[in-house]
Amino acid sequence: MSPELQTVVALVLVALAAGWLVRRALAKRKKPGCGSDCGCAAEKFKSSLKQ
Amino acid sequence: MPKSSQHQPVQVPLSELPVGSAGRVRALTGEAEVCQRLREMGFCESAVIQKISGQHTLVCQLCGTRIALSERAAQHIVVELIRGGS
Amino acid sequence: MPLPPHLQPSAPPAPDRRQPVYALVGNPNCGKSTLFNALTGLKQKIGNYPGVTVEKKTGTAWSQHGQPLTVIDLPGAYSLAARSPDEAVLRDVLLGRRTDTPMPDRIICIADSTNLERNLYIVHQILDLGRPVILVLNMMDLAAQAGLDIRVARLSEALGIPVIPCEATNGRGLVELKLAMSRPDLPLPRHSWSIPAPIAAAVSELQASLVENDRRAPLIARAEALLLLTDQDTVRVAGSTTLSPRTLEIFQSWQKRWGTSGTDWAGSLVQSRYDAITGLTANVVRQATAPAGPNTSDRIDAVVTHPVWGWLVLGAVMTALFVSIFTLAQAPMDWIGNHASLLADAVKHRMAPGDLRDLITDGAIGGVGSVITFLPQILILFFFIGLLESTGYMARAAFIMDRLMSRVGLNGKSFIPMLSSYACAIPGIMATRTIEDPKDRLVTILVAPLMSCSARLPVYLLMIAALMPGNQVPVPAKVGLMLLMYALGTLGAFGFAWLFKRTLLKGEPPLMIMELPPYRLPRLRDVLQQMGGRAWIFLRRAGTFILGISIVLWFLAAYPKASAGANPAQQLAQSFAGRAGHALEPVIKPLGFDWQIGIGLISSFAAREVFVSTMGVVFNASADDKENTAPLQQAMGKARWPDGRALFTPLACFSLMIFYVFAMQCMSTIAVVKRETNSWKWPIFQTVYMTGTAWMLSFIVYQTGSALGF
Repeated sequence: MSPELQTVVALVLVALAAGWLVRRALAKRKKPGCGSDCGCAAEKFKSSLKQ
Repeated sequence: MPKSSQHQPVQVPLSELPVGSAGRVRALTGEAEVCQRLREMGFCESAVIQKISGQHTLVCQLCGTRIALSERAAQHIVVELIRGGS
Repeated sequence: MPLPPHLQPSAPPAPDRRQPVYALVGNPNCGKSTLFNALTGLKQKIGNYPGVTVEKKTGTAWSQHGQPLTVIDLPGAYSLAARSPDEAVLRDVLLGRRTDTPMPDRIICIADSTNLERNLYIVHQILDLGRPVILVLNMMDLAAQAGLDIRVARLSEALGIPVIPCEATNGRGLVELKLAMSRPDLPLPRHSWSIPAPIAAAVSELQASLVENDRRAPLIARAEALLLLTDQDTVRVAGSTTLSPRTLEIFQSWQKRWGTSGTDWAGSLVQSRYDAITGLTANVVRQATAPAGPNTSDRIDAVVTHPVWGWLVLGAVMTALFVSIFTLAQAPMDWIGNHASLLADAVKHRMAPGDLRDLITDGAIGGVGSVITFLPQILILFFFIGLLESTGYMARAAFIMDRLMSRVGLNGKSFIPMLSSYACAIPGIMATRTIEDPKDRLVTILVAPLMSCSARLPVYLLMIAALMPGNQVPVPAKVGLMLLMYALGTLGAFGFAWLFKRTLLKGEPPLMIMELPPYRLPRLRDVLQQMGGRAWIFLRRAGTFILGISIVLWFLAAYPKASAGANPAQQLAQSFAGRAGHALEPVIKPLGFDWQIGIGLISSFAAREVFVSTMGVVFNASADDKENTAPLQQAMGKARWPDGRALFTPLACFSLMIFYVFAMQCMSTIAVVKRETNSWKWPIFQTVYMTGTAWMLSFIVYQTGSALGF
């Protein structure tokens, strides 16, 4: 793969990644939540928390 | 308020009940909100409580469930001693 | 178990008839979640009730004819009298007050058989609604162990509804429950109890007004009237329809009347309900064998909740946790790290030099690899937490902490959200929804992120490794440092909680009433399943979000391109990332950080562990030897300030760790705080106070240390 081609492909990937991240951030603003990313254990702990 | 006479057994707030002894709920006094909460949890008049541990934050047994109470909550419950500690 | 004679097996329903919607109701800790999971399997949907921060759980169960049945898992409660948003939603859904959720057609009540009297309180309230109800008596095995004999048939007869004994954890009773759920017709409860006379007049008046002015069905109106009279401080949440003015007027006039006469209307209603229930259970529950004396759970509790022993036990548990994190995880971590390097080297040898190659090795593999290295530690952490939770120890820990927490003005119940913040602050903050006092809740939310979350773990571990290079470092030293960081975070949380409760959010001293579930052997399958779930989430996050960020970061570090012949350090210095780092450097130099670390600090806003990836990208990109990728620690060890001093000195590493303990960085957390508090004021305040403290402490540590010659 020539260096020029490599650069093009790399930049395309970067653009895709950036676009995806931005879209994700906007979607989170609309429908806030942990986006099932952080491992919500809220239900698990809630049961032992209830008074 | 603790009342003691020959005919009536001693009544104390739950926080002062000796560890290991059992008491019967005689009254709920204090803030209405707290009393109602306690009632819903099962601390009704004539329920039997067994004190398992603690002075300021205590654990007691009520109808087969173990409940932890902070001191302020426990002060709302007036019990009558029915069985001494082991 | 054969169907009792008064319940007929049903015929298949007509195809166009809508399947009934079921609501699942019961006390906390009665096994409701286990039953919900058993009924719906993996077909669950978790969302939100619009306008309120309460979780909505719906799932699909299957009738015996293969028809889908919708089941809504409503929040657990001891009574319909709502004191928190959770309970308000429960009440509103059952009364049909929510426009986003139709009133359920049928209700499944779950009761813990070992404490039937108390569990029947909310059932009694629900029977008032006049909807079809199925009563499930759960934990029958525990009841049998306690020597209780429950006459199920009698209970069913007295209430007029199907009553199904069950052991949700073993799956017993589920078939009968599904059979009952599949019936096209369920009997309506046979339910009457005597309301005290002074209250009865008020009830009928309110009921009449509710029927006329609020257009409720008569039975629902009566139930609602009764509820109004026991709801001391009616909790109203967004999304529920309000009452008509006439009804409110009637209610208030009765309130005034009783206020002057001194009648404890709420108390007497509760009492008369319990009287009715006691009458019922006297006939139905018998103590067949005398209950044993203090059982095992009690004996364990006597130690675990002891003022002195309790603390020692807690300390021992925490220490065991951290020791295992360091020892057991070492080998798998090295394995992962080495393989990541090998992979990068392989790519380097196969591909011609160029941007794409660099993207793959420095960006993707460097970034993601450095985070994945910490997977073993995270697994161990969650395994332990799951184990403790499964045995029931967590509730005791909350209890022990209550003594301490009430000194800073916090409720012992705040402990569990704070403890879950050790994993991630986001579920911790969401778990504060069950804290009733809004001030306590806000304070807990404000300090929860100070509890070192698992995303900080890679940062700590990296710094500890860089601080003490070499494998001859004694494990106790590493453990000690970790414990120190966690202790600092915890102390910080407590300290700030005390401060906030004294100044900004002065409130009542807290009150705790909490049920302690019995101890039981940990269910390994559940624990491992949860651990696996967490591991999967971690990997997925690494493979997607962190990969994306690493790619973008690589770009920011590689562009704009320096002139040909520049060495990697110069390239980095004049890239976008480098310029941002340089801009930040004056602010962080007094803390011992340079612009490269600055890049890491900025990228940590996406997620704290991205710091590690950033270091991976930054230091591999600027490594002189481009033919072999060095493990991160080695690269960091070689890093230098412009004047030649080592960058990652022990003091700087320590200062960095302190910074991370206190700084508010995670954007997702800020977003959740904003959502849970409904304003930007608090998340901004939180960011300022936390990051400000972080800066100051880091400054003090670094400057003092430098002055002392470290």
